[in-house]
Amino acid sequence: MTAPDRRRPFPETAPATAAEAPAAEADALLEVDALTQTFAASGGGRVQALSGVSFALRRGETLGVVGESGSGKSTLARAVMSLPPPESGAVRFDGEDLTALSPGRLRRRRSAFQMVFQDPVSSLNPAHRVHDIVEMPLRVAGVRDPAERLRRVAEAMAAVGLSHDDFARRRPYELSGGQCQRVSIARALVSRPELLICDEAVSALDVSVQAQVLNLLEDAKAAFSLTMMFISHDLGVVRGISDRVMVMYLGKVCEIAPTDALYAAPRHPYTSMLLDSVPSLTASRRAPRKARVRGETPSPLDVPSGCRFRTRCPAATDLCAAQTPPLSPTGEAGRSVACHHPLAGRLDSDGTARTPPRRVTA
Amino acid sequence: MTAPLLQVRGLTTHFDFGRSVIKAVDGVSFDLAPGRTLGVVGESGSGKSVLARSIIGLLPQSRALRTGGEAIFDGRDLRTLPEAEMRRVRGRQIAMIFQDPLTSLNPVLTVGRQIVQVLRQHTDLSVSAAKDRAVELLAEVGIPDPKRRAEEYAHRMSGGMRQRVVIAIALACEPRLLIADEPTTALDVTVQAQVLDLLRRLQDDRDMAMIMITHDLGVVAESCDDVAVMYAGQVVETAPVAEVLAAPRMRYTEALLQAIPRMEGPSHVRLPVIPGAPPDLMRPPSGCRFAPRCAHRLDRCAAEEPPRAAAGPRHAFACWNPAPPPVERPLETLADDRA
Repeated sequence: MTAPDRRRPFPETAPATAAEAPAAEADALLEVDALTQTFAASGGGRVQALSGVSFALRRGETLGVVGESGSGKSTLARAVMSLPPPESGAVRFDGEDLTALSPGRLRRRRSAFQMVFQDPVSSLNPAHRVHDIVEMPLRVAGVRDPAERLRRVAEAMAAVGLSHDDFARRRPYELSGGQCQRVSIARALVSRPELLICDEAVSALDVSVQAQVLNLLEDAKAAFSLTMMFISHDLGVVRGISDRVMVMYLGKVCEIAPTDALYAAPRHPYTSMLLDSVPSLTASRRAPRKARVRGETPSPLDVPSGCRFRTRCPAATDLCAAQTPPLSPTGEAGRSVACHHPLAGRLDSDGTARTPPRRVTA
Repeated sequence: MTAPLLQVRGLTTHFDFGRSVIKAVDGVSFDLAPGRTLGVVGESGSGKSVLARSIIGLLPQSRALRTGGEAIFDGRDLRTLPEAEMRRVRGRQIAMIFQDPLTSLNPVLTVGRQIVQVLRQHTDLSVSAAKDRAVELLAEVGIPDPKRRAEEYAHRMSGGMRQRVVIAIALACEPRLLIADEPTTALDVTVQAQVLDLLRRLQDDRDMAMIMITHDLGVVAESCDDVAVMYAGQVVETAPVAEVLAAPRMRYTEALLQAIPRMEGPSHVRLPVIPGAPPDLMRPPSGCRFAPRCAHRLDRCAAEEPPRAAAGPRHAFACWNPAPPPVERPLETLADDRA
């Protein structure tokens, strides 16, 4: 039986100093290696939702994962959680391959990696009271002492700004969307996880409430020494919370880089297109503008050969159709890109401002 | 400035359930000129969608409905038009598009048929002329291979293509006003960029006025000339977009802008937060409705409703303790780059 108490004392621990150290594989809490996940599609085909995804997450780091629908970001989160386990590849958590664990062992390990989902209302059981919802992971983890459970539920609720006295006996329908999401976060924190995966955790919230929850996640990260994977389609939100950002397109990683470097000068043409698409607060209705986006995302049932982005890429060549570009280091600290013709900086509409091909291949 | 196409004055939509009254829209006024776009921005429950439906007369038929005020479109008050007359205005003169393109489309008719239906309803085109026009419209909204696509059903299309079809239907009769209720909210960001570009182009081609309802101030900046900020059923600030983004006066507008995570600047910055949640519209706070959440509230804020104050030719706000006007850059220069 796991006794989560052994691992770390509760919030009093010193806050993690995130992202200070350069990438060191030795310090990785989570290592994902060649993760592949496919689903049967209606009509007999198979959708490859994840295709050879590899990355490592350092202790205390927040990794943002961005991409559009069908990019595989939610599938990635679930594959890491073994909900369901990936088809192939390894998920090493603290050195232990989760995909090789027995179901019982996996269930006991689960208290160390928790998830917050998008829909704050439907991810809570409407018939249960807030106290019982937050307490459930402790029961699953086998914390037998009721006084201990009560203390930890109260602490987790306090950490998300909900007083146990006021909220413990309420049910989800008596709460606002923001309060429901706080309950979800408290439920994820109560088992003192090391890794917190947030899948679009603030996407359903209004701007004013979203800011509250984002600040709360930053506080919880410090107080609980969390490592975070933060999945979102909102590039502004990801920018604020992440140390590094991983960009996904059709089940593959396009680019992974430290946040500031990625936003300042994307190297993958898709990253550039994505950043250019975000409505800017400094834009103007009457200003002339260039067309920012070419084409549509192809069907995941019929992905292009070679680089999956090539059908929409202004820089695509024959090489891109023939060979899948591997995710390889660019030489910049912590940055890798999967592109035959990576950009030097922001992409212009005609595809200029790009560097010559890095590799000359037959 | 051109005479307004739409003048909304003191528009009120309440739902009276006896013991409680939901004041969904409470005294909203604005003007909209031909060819211009007004953004209506607010959080959920601020009343922005009810406002749109009040203008176009698409509120649920309910005995609880209490309406007031005027919505004068082209000299006629839409609120007092008989339903038969209103049906001729709707679709022909004023069109509306909604957030979810899939539920806006009929699943058992080809998209071409749906456009033909609208054209036959509102114009005297023959069936074959309407069919040709439908294909033209699909081409105009950027659908590749429009002749073949006209024969397809909505479920065979991507979200972006569906929203293009919805736009084609809305524009089929060359309306003079388009009301777009969160038209890009359900779309991916690259698709959103395409749809916003499309709406802008079509609007410029037709000199059509537009009301763009959205929760996203970035969308407002990209696609609107003016903006009306709504909070708890009321418009709390109206202004040219550049002016409100650079120098909001009403404290809610100011706080909302600060709470948006930015694409520029450093990471891990604590966002300024608006405490609490928007009020229950059955029991809105007395005085200024934002007062309980406002960091700058005065004693009178909870006691008296703030009047509308003018801050410029097209800029008005309702606040007892407004943010100071910009001193270093006069407002005129901010408004200039919009022209």
